[in-house]
Amino acid sequence: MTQNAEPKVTLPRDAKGKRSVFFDDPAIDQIMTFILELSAEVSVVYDRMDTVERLLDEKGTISRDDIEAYRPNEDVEAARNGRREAYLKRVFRMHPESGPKD
Amino acid sequence: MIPLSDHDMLAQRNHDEESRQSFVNDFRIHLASNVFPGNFPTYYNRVLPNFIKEKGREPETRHEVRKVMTHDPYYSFWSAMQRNSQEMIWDSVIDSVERQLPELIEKSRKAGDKGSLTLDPDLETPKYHVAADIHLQPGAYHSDQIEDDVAAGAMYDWGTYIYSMGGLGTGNNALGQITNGFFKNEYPDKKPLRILDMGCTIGGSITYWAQQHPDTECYAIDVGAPVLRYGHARAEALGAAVHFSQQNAEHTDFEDESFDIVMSHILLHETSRTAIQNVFDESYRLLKPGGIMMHMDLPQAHGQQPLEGFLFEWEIYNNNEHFFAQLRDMDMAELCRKAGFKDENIHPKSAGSFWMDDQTPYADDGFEFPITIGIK
Ligand SMILES: C[S@@+](CC[C@H](N)C(=O)[O-])C[C@H]1O[C@@H](n2cnc3c(N)ncnc32)[C@H](O)[C@@H]1O
Repeated sequence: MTQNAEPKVTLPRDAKGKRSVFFDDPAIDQIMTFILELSAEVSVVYDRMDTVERLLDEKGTISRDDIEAYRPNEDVEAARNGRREAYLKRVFRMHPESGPKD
Repeated sequence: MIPLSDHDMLAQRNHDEESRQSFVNDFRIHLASNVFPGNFPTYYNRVLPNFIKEKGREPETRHEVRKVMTHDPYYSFWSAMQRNSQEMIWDSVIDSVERQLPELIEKSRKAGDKGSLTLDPDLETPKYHVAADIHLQPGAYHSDQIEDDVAAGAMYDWGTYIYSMGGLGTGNNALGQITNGFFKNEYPDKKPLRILDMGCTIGGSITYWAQQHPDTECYAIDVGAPVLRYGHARAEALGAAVHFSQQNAEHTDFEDESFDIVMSHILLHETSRTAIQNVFDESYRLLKPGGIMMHMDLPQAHGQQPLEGFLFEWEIYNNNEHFFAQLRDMDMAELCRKAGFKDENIHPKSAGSFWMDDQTPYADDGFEFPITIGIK
């Protein structure tokens, strides 16, 4: 796998322009990014584990290359979609608006 | 997510990149279907009553709504998550593009010659494109990081697909499908010989037209070199003949009265007020008598309620779509008149996924793009 090889070109990672501020305390804006990126990584780890489990079920033994080469077919992706949907609903449970405040 | 249909220029994702992109896609679906709708009860149950208590009346404009909604905690959390999801799109596509860039460049150099690619290194990138990176794509449409760079195009292909949550279709061509379906229905007798797509980016739309009309000469222009290189190689990989050139749609080098159709797909809202008039003037100049100008873009403010109008403008303030603000209130018919079109030949129309040939997962949604038609 060339996954960890040094890339020949480094692409820019930040978009030019002023970033919107959403909260009175900018620290919350920063923390939101940490939490969201972290939740993406948890989801990636989950999919990877799912790949390992599926391959083990199928073949009994696997290599890293097997994992890298694995792509979810339609059924597997549907199962993963369902898993992600439940995960997102759980992790990002919003506090509903309950009525006017006095 | 259902992946884009593969083609020779598409950046391949490794296991984790595929998973990360699927997460961002699903996260955006979650935001759209479960979090965004909460803005309505938030407004009606909390923000609006407070506004009325203070002012003794309801907000009259979307700008008044903005002043109060942006301080509401529910809205702020949705908005912050939406912004992050947009950043995460690019974040999730950059790695695979960066890793494969040398190979993608190599492939684009060896692209076929059914169509063509003409670049103009001296072309100035319009000011409205250098002020900020539109929809947060790092480097935007025009930055080259290396000779013969195609990264911006490769990122745009996956990025816009995830942005649309699959709505652009697995061929990343929904907009072209819509204008093509609309055109065929509206003008069943017209057989265009030579057509131009302005602001084509990676040519998603014009390439679809070229596939549908193999006997039509298809031209496409954009100001960004890396997206054009990618677009040309992509069209060739798909077996379509499109002539791409790097030009500003405000003033092109094509001859007077040389096209049957001059069109654009969501170009206008990313240009300036003056530029839009220039684009209309140029469209008029390029059309043959009887030719059709067809500019499709995002909905305008008229007819939208203050809350709806405010929510619709989220991208202006949070996704570097600053130039969309002025299009919201512009008089498109007046622009056409100034460009030379006669009143009776100016038609405000609209079209949505109803006109698409294939049925993508979102093809049944009711969203419609306004299309400004002028017939010369
Ligand atoms: C949102 S994209 C258009 C998407 C594309 N038409 C499609 O159907 O997939 C806007 C594009 O317009 C280009 N653009 C902006 N101003 C332009 C101008 N004055 N002349 C030519 N292209 C322009 C940008 O470089 C960018 O690629």
